[in-house]
Amino acid sequence: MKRWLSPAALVLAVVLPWIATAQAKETEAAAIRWAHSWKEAVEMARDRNAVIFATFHKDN
Amino acid sequence: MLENEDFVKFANENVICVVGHNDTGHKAEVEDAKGKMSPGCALYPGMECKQHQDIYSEVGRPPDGMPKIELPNGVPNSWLVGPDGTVQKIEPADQQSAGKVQELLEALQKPAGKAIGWKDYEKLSSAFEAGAKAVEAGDWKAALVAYQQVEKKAGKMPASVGERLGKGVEALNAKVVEAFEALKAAEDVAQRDKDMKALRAKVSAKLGPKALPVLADIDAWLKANPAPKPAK
Repeated sequence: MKRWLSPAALVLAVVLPWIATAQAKETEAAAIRWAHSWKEAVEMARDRNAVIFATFHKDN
Repeated sequence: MLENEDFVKFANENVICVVGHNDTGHKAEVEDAKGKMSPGCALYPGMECKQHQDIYSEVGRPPDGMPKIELPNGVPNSWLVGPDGTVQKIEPADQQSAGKVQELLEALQKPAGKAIGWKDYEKLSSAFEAGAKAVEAGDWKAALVAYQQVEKKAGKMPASVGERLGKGVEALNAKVVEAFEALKAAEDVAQRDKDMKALRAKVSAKLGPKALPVLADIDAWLKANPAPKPAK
């Protein structure tokens, strides 16, 4: 017996992953991309002729 | 400020961002629905706590030739470092203002000329990586195609791109020289001639106005060692 997805289920199946992807992209876009070490930052700054923004924090 | 969407977009495209944080107890990122663990620090996505802790100490005692930041006792504090290594402190009153920090970043960038944006840098890195891999695999033609992509853009980019390209091309030329020398020593003259011409065809593409230096040597050798006449 063939089983068919109802139109509503079909719409959800298509739309939900799209929403999840869009949300993931939004989260990604809202976060700073940090260099993983001082050396990496300096080398990349030289390669890209770019300025480094360095910020220092502590808990509380 | 670090959550300001406009600043995040600007910084991710134009600036190298570094965070130092001398604590390691931040909650680690967790297992996702598919069971995949994402290691790292929840406070600074994409990093591990040890990395931001190490940066805190690295900036004060960097390896030779790298800029040094004399951190004061208090935090937060923020700094700008120009491409030439110039270190500039951001005044406490300005460091929480995304607009002011962006203004300072742009002012320090200006005398250095245009930076390579993140998207262009990613494309460049892919081309350099493809070139280096092709060199390792002995695929000279593919290496030249990859470096041609870089060469087309290098003229409008910072000198660092030309320097990096020069090193890649030098490595490629050295490998082709090795192949050329090995072929010269082959004993089967007819096969050697055929292989030498095939090698020449693979490395004859120009990078801008120039060909690989080895091409002139191959041409000179082919001239001095003409193909053997077929036996009647």
